[in-house]
Order: sequence, then C-alpha cells, then structure tokens
Amino acid sequence: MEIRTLDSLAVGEKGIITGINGGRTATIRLFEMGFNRGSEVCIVKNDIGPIIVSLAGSKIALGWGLARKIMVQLKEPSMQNAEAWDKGGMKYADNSISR
Amino acid sequence: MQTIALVGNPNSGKTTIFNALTGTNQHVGNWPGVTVEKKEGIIKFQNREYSVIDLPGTYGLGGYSEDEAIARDFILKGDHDIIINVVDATNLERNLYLTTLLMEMGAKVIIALNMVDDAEKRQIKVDYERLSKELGIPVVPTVASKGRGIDQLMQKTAETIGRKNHIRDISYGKEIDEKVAFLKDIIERHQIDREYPSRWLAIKLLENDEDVIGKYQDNAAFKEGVLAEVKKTTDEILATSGMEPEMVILDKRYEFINQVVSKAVVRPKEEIDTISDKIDRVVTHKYFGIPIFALIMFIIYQLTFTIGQDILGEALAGGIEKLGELVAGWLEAVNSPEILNLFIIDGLFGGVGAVLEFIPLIMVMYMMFGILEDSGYMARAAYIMDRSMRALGLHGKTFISMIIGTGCNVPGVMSTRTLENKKDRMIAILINPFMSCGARLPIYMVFIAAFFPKHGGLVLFSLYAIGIIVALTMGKIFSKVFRGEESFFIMELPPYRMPTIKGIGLYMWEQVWSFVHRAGTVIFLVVSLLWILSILPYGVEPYSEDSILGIIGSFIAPIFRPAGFGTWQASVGLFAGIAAKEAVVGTLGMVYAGVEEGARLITSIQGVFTPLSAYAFLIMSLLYTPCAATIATIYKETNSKRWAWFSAVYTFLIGWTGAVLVYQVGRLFGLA
Repeated sequence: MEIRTLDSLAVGEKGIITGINGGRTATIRLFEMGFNRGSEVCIVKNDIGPIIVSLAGSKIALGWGLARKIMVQLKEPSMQNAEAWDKGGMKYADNSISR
Repeated sequence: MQTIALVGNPNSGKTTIFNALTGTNQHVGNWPGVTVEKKEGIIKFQNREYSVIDLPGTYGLGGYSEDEAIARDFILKGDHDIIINVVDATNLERNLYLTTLLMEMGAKVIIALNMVDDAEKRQIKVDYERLSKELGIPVVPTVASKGRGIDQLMQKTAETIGRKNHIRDISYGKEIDEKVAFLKDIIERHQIDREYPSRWLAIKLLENDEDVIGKYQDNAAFKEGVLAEVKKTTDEILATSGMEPEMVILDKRYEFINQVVSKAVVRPKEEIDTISDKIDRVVTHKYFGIPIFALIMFIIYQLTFTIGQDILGEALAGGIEKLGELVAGWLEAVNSPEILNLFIIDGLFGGVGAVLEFIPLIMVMYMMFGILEDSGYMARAAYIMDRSMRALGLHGKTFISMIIGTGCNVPGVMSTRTLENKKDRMIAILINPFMSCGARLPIYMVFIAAFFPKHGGLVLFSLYAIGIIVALTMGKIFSKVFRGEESFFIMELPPYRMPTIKGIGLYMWEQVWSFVHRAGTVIFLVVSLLWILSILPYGVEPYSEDSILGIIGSFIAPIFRPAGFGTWQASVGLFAGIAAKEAVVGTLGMVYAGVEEGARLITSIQGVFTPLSAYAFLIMSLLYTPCAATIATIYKETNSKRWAWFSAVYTFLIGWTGAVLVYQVGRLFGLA
C-alpha cells in the first residue's frame, strides 16, 4: 500500500501511522499525544481549517503543517467508510484535490 | 504531612478528583488547559492529613508550554510521596504514555482510572485487575464527577504510600536494555551526586533529554566519564537499528502500552458514531461554523440583557434604591451627622450600590458561559477560529485565552500559558485586555439604559465584537513586529457533555463572588477615597468642580474633549477605572448622585452625554488601560516591567483614538 501524508487523506479514510517526518520537538510532541508508529487514525474532517482526526477513541485537531509531517499507510476503505463519506457530504473526488 | 500529587493528561479530570478529595471548588471545565497553575489542598483521611497538589495537565514530560513545564518541574523535583496518575478510561492508549514515563522514574504511582462510566457507555471494557497486574501499579476505577470511587482511591493511596513499589521495568528491546544497564553501571560507578535513579538517568541520556543533560553541564567527571559513553552508545544503536535511540525508546513505550492494553481492554470493533460527531458536523462546518458561533454569542448577550438587566436587574436596582431611601430616612431620624449621611447615601448607595445592581446580569451571563464551557463547545470555538487566527499570524489557542478574558482579563492572561511558543504567548497576553471583561458590563449597562434602551443587545454585541476586532488587529500588527519560530497547532477536542447544574452553579458563583468581593473591597476603597476628595477642601460645595476631585478631573478633562466627553466627572470615572473597572460606574454614581437629590445615575447622565458621546465613552471604557490587577498579571506572566507599562500605555492610546474616531466621524454624519 502507498505511503501518504496525513493531510492528503479524505474524510472517512483510515491510515496506519508509519512515521513522523519532522523536527525533534514536533516528533516527540506528536508521539506524546498518541501519533505513534502503528496507531490507526481516521479522518473526521478535512476541508478548511485544521484537520480533525479520530485517534484511539479521541478527537484531535491538528494544523496542516503538522499533518503533513505524519506519514500514513492508507487502509483500504471499507463499505462503512464509504457511507461515512456520503454522510459527511464528501465525494471521492475530494481525494485528488492537491493543496 | 505527606504529599499526594495529581498527574495526568489534559482534561482527564484531575481537578474534578482534586475537588472531590479536598472538598474545594476549583474551577473545572470541559476542555484541555483549564488548570494552568499548581493548586494545593488538604485532605483528612482516617485521622491523618495529606497535602494534595493539583498539577496542570500534560501529555509527557517535555514541558513544551508553560503549564506543562510547571507539571514537569514538580514531578521531577520529587517533593511528593505518591502520585495519583489520573487516566481517562475512554482513552487508555494515549493516557498510558505519561504513565510509562512515571514508571521509568521509579515514582510511587497509583492510577485513578477516571470516567469509567463513559467507557462503559462506549462499550469499552477494562479489566482493572489485569491492568494493575500488567503495570505493577494499583488501579482504582472512579467517576469523579459523581464522587464514585473517591473513598476507595484514598484508601488505596493511604495503603500504598507507605509501601515499597512493585512497578515493572519497561523493556526497550534486548539491545537498548543492555545499553541502559551498561550506562546505569557507569553512572553508578562515577558516584555523581544525583537526585534521580540511575536507570532513569541512563534512559534520559540516551533520549538526549536537554534538561537532564543541562543539569550536569558543570560536572566535569560526568561530562568525561558518562556523556562520552552515552555518545558512543548512541552511535552504536544508530548503526545497528538505523534509528535514533530516543525514537526506539518512544516506539518501545508504545509497544509496551499496546501489550498491556491488548490484555486488559476490549474495545468495540467499530466506534459508534456518537452524538458528538453529529454535533461537530454542524458546529464545525466549514461555512456555518463561524456564523453559528456569532449567533450563539449574540443570543447570550441578548438574553443577558433581557433577563439579567430588564427583569432581574431592574428589580434589584429598585430594591437598593428603596433601601437607600429607608436608610436615609432613618439617618435623619436619629440626627446623625450630615457628613456621615452624605457618605452613606452618596458614597455607599450611590457609588457601591450602583455597582451591586449588576449582580443579576453577571449571574445570567456567566451561567450561559458556564454552559458553553461545560458542554465542550469552547474547544470547538478555538477550532473554528483557528483559520481566521492563522490568517492574521496568530495561534488558534489565542482565541481560548480571549474567550476566558471575557470573564476577567486576569485568568485570560494566565491561560496563555498553554501556548507553546513564546511569540504566540506574548501576543496573546498583549491583546487580551481588549476582550471586554465582566467588570466593564456595569458601564455598558448604565449607558445603554440611558441612551439605547431599545437596542441594548445590539449595542452590547457591538462592543464585544469591536473588542475582538481590535484585539485581532493588534495581534496582526504584533505578529509582524515580533520574531519567532513557526508554531504548530494541535489540540484535543473533548467529547460533548451535558452541563451539570452543579458545574454551572459553581462557575456562576465564582464570578458573582469575585464581583461582590471586589465591590466590598477595591471598589469600596476607591469610592471612599474619591468621596473624601470630592468634599475637600473643607467648606466647598460637595461634588463640585471646586473640590479636589473636581480640580483633578478638570485638569484631565481637556484630553477627552475631542471624544465628546470632556467633563471632569467622566475623567475621574475613567481614572478610577484603572483601579478596577466597576469603579467607573461607582464614581459616576457618587458624583452625580449628590447633584440631584434622589436621581438615579441613569437619569443624571442623560443630561450630560449625547448618544454619540455616550457611545464614544463606551468605546473608551472598552479599550483603554486595563485594571491594576490585569497589569500586575501581565507583569507577572511576562516578568517584565517594560511590557506591563507598555500594555498600560498603548491600550490607553488605542482607547482614546477609538473614542475620538467614533465621536468625530459620528459628527460628520450629523449624529449628536
């Protein structure tokens, strides 16, 4: 599976964190807050403003600068996620929008 | 007396446990970063007294922000006999990270597994005994908000405090474990005078922890003997694993946590789409988020005005007036000296009474703020504002400190401690005074009642909005002036909760009490002092321009002439407001009460101000120099007299400019 940065995921998509590509402070900060290798994150919101992810049962808002430092391996979206897209009013095409 | 320290992630419920343990009523709120200082309390349990310390929430021991540094320094200093590690049961994986750090320190720890009711609701099953066994730490399930498990927690704490620890050492994999043991030996052989356990020191050195290394910077033996070995070991690990040792250690901590969690916790396969998600979909919506926030604030001010002022406030004002007349009649009946009558009627009832009339208003307003806080919406407000804040070069969390500033600028300024970056924090401190605090409300209310009775909510809303706009504009300017590294935004969004009557009641009470307390102390003192100045020199017509107060006021007055309120009364009012903002109304109430017998402040100012000059006066009151307590807090938080002076002077200039602009532009448009 391809490795992407967290900010490139669309609402409902899930990924497994493979690493953090940032400075020491940012990396440790993210680790402390639970963005460690192997954790599963799910995108709750990704339009304007900071991204909201769900991580181990809690919701965390993080700015794009940080999200871009987080490398994730995309999980194949399940049917449930597809439903989540519909609910959130997002289309698959949003995936390809480059920022 | 033995000391218990409460340690845990932000918003895990430390302060709620602290309140339950000590029977105090420290402020709690449903968002991360409510507690920014350490607080102390006493608990008596089984005839023994313990001191309990509530620390700011922290995710780790990095101490990135001021509040986290307070927690870190306290934990590392070791002035405690036991740590109660408050862990959010719905969030074990992430909360246990801090636990592993405490375990490494060899600290005596007991876990309060909090919010187990929420975990149950979300079908997260935690096997407490297994968890305790895996960690080697006693675990007590609690629901602090309902007082459940608190006795058991204290029982367990009292038992554990005198016992030896059985905490497990965390394994970082064979290679690192060997290196840690090797370094531990070296540290012990060098017999350096150290305050920390040697294994922990070895780990921290491998992690390249700057603070710890800095502590031994002046120790030559340590530098040569230990640090050189650390460097060698680090290079070896880097060569074999291709990773910095600190990264390997971080990884292994989570590996350990995952093992523990997999044995002790069963989570539902798919997280249920909670109500929180549904609410968030609406209130954080990309287009509707900000309008919804504005609407909520507008409704709050509108309700504050109608219920707090028109209904309850009027009733109380009438009551105070009646009481004043009653006292006046009684004083005359007992033939008390004229000077005492003057002081009691004009100074106390006219001045302090004018301030107390606003208690219902404060109650209603902060009841609604309390609901917002307890529900968890505050963190969302910061979230939806982040984009606008960022466009101005400000940090999203700045907005939280601004919202807190609408209660009082003192906690508003203090709450900036959660900002990691020095530059962001400095800006947040300097713009906070523009956020209109509760003490300024009485000024608005008096003038609204006198000049804009039909549009009260709108005028009130406009003042708060102008405060925010000026704060953001100044923020933009400061962000261009100050230099600093780029900062990042990361914030946990707490789940929504139904606000409790107790929580809101406490919040309301806190505000009302501080308001009444100030009225009885600072305001009373200021008004008394000014009253004396207003009847001196002896024989002068009281409250006239010839009194000392009148002379002082007349001296200042010309600078306010371009703003339309160049009277000596307005000038001394604003002057008194630097002591405390309520004193503006208190002083005006006093100086005008004496002029027309029995006339209330509202009717007396109608003859002196025009609607336009009244609005200019409100703008001045909103923006000019913050009260003494705020200036003192700015001094404390920036640790700089220069910045404290600066904040006092620049806000005055901005307030004056704003008032003059309003008045002059208004006149151009033919307003009066």
